[in-house]
Amino acid sequence: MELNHTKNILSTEELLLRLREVKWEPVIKQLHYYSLNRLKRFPLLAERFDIISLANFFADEAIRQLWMQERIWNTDKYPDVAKFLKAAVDSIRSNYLKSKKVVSTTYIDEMMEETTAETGDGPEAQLVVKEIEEQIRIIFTDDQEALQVFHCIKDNLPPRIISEELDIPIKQVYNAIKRIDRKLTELRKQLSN
Amino acid sequence: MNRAEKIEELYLNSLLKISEQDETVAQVLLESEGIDNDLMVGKTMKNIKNYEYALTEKIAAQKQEQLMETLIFKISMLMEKVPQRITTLLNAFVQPHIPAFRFKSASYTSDLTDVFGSIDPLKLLEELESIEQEIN
Repeated sequence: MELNHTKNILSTEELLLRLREVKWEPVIKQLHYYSLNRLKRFPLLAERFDIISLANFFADEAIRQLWMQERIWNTDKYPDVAKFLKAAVDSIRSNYLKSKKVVSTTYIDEMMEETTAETGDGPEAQLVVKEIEEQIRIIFTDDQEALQVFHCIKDNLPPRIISEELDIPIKQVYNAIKRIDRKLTELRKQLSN
Repeated sequence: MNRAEKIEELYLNSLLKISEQDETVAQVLLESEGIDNDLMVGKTMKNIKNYEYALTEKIAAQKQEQLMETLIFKISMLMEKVPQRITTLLNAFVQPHIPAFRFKSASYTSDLTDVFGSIDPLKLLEELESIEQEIN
């Protein structure tokens, strides 16, 4: 096997060997969900585009670009192929939106920074947390089950554990997730208009 | 970002974290959007098989190119030392397939590349390396 001594970049043969070792089924599912999750942060896009098809396209395109060596995998920066593919999806999405002249005032990085900056122990941060909790309570006034599931999701509990904690079937947890999704999307769209 | 956007952002981030720890969660969340996971995975895996084939072909082509470069280099080098022997060797390899072939010089590399398709390049490389070892 030829070895490529260029720092961190795989030769074609090395790439083939690495890609053959990947368990593709979970990577495909998680990448497609990642792509869709990221697109959902632009609710106004759903009015112009079929975001499900778009999300699938970005995920498939990231995989194609990796295999065809159109996007070079730096294994030092991204030891895990799944992380590399997610970065590729972000890049492909960004380029696509720019090409369609979709301007968003809420890019992922800006949102992440803003969210992080306000988590803290200071009085201002605590006020923000209180306001957010109040807002959440208002959003789910008529759906206490969704509110409970929302808090569990916010604490990164998987649906299986939520089902045990709340003593409800797991299918009910997923139904609540769907309702939460709809409520938040509608609310955000309303506030964007 | 207003509060509603912030809430949705926190929620989506949490769902993402959970789905990254458990493939089943990603699967169910996709299904809830109307995505047929089996169809999606099947289609992507079929594409991957095609990409794998393309990559394998690319590697074979790269290896063939490297082999040709090695042959041309060794022929050029040995022509400076034992020209008659190399000329005889190359004619013996090619003429059974292309009777009109007469090797002149290693500088006609495009001629060599054309005719190498009709011979066993690995066997030729073996013969050239054997001559190289003899004279060194």
